Amino acid sequence: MPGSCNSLRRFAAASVLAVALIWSTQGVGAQTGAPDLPPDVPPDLPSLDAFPPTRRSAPTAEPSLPPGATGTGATGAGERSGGREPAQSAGSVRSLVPFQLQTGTILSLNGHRDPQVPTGEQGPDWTQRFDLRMVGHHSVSERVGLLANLRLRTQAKDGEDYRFGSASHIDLQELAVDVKATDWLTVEAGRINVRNGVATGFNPTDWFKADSLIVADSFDTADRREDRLGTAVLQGVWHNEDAVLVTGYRVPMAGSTGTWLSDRSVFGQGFNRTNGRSALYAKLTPLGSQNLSTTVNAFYEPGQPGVGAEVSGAVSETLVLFAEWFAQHRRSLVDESHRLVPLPLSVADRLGAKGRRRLLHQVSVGANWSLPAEIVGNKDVSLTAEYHYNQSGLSKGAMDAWFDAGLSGAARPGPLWAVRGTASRLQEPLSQHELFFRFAYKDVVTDVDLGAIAFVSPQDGSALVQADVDVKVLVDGRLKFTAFTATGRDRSVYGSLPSDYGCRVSLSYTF
Amino acid sequence: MTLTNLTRVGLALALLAGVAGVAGLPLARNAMAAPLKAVDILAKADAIRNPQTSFVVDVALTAYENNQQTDSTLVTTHSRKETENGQFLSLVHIDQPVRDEGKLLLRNGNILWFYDPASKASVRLSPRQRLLGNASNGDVVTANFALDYAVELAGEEEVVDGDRKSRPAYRLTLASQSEITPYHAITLWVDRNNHRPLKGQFFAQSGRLLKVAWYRGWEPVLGETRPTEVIIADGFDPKKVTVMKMSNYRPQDLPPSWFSNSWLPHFRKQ
Repeated sequence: MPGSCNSLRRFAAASVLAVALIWSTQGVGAQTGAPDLPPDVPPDLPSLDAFPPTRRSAPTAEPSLPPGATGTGATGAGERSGGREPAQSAGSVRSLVPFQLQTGTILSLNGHRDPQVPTGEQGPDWTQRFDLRMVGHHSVSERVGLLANLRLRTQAKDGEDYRFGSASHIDLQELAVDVKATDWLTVEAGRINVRNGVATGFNPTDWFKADSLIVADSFDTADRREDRLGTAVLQGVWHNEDAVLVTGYRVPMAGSTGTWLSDRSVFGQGFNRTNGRSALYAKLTPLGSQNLSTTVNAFYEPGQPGVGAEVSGAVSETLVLFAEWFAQHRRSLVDESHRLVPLPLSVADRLGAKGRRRLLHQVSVGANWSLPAEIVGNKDVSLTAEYHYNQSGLSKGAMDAWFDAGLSGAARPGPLWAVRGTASRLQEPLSQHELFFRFAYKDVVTDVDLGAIAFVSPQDGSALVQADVDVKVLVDGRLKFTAFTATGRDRSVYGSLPSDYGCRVSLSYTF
Repeated sequence: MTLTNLTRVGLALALLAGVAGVAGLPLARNAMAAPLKAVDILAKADAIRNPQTSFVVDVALTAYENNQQTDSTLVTTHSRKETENGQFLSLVHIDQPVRDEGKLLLRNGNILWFYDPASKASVRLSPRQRLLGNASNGDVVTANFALDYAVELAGEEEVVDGDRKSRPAYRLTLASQSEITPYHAITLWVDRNNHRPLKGQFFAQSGRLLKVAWYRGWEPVLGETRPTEVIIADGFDPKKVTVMKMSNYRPQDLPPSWFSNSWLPHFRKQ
């Protein structure tokens, strides 16, 4: 649909321009016109005679300060005062169910390119999805709790007739029980989203990210974490005055791939993906430091043991440095892909396949800089920069060999793209070296957040850039607009992606 | 992973609502370098602001702009007092708005973590990001003045308190002694009769006034008459005001391990 694609491209460009305009008019520049110092007396608003005007003019608005300084606020120990008021009106709905109820819809528009190495069938030009989610933790008793994250989703897409039965799915992302066995031990059992890591763009120590993604609405790793399946585990959380220790066992559930375990029906839960093999894991976080945060971890899957660590610390008021490392005896991306979708041996060799497991390292190092008040005043503006090293990924030479094999016909596109699909499936960088940047500007205007991320390949200069505007709607709703583009030469990591550009609009509300 | 404006402010505010009161013990460190009287005054004022024990408190925050309410947030703050140094560790749980329910902010010294239950992700924040949101209110009530600031008695004068009453007060000037303090300087007015904190001004390194706070709502709380309301005006935009109200203080023993990022996915609100 070339016409609509051009329109979409113009729309995306206009959106980026609009974001830039908002930034320039509301952002740092606005601070130069900040008001003079406030008067050295209590401002008009807190005046006990006049405060709060809103309450008088709008009786339905949130009650606030009573007309007097005394008799408000806190009371003695254990006494519940009247000073704590509901923040919004959804409390009645919330009181009916022990979990949050969320509803949302997302419209995705995608523009495609014809990559040099053809991918075969292109993805849909548009998709529209509706979600209904129940999520949260409910304390059944003082010692027992229930964790749930269940979602019903149904999706229509370009080129397909919509039928609810085949286009819908129930995701059991999390469902677990936790028991406080003693004051120092909590036991958790069920499907849990076990997550590790301090970096924001790529987490080497995040053991269970592989095969876990249900839908991919965003290129932002932070967003994608909300759309992944948990892992069925039995784990204990031990803690004392010196450390927190998490130990666990991943239950193997791939022996029978019935419709409940697999993704083969509306009710399939993909346990064959998240619980393919048994595994043991442990994570130790020592206490005591008031700056450095350190965690060491170990993971054991038959034939694939690994160890890792993460550390973070503030070096100034505005700057935090962090690092994350994981080393595992495993297959590289090429070897893993070649095992499942064989490449010609000569091509596999040029792509770096070894045909065996070996010790491979992954690293994320980065910094988060919160712009100081001297620059942005009281605005919350931050920049994050990370370097990702993935020894199991493709080197620059291997990437060139990938293109050569595709263009020369030395390998069919399917097995070649399977290598990139493996990187996506395992949620790892395709290339060995990657840069990641994040920009976040909270409340550029009231209740409007701006954000942008970029994955950059230092090997060829290509980039995947995504920007979003997040707007608060009513009390518990959000309207989010996202635009992305992949740029670079045809023979580059991101310039060769079949997705050229696109945008997404989502609306969600929590009850 | 987003938070509403006031939610971020609320987290920051509530995070250290129980911290300022720890100043009493560390103040002794400054006793040699600062006039004893100023040190004593600040110690008493800090001890009044918060209970000197581990506790849990509910905090309601309401934001106003141009005389209109713009936001409201409820959080529960868990504060553990460390016996070794008198410092507090704090953990804030968002109760409302519902959309942000369950999100956590952890402070342990310079360690700041934000946890989102939706993604199970913990994000390490810089110390400045405790000033989240437009009002940057967090440090008004959370800065550990005694540990990080040298104090001097600058004078005695009348000051208008949060109830719009003129009161005789000590004027204390606090100068930062640490590179990581959010404010370069603070001016604090303390009631001359009872050492209650009345008002504070908070300045950036450039000398710019960042915010002004007034303490009021004096109530008996855990054995002391303490302020249960703080009114905070934005120094950049005085039309932006946040009111913080504390209630339902309850002393509670809180294990140190709760104040680790590894515990955040397992934390249950008390």
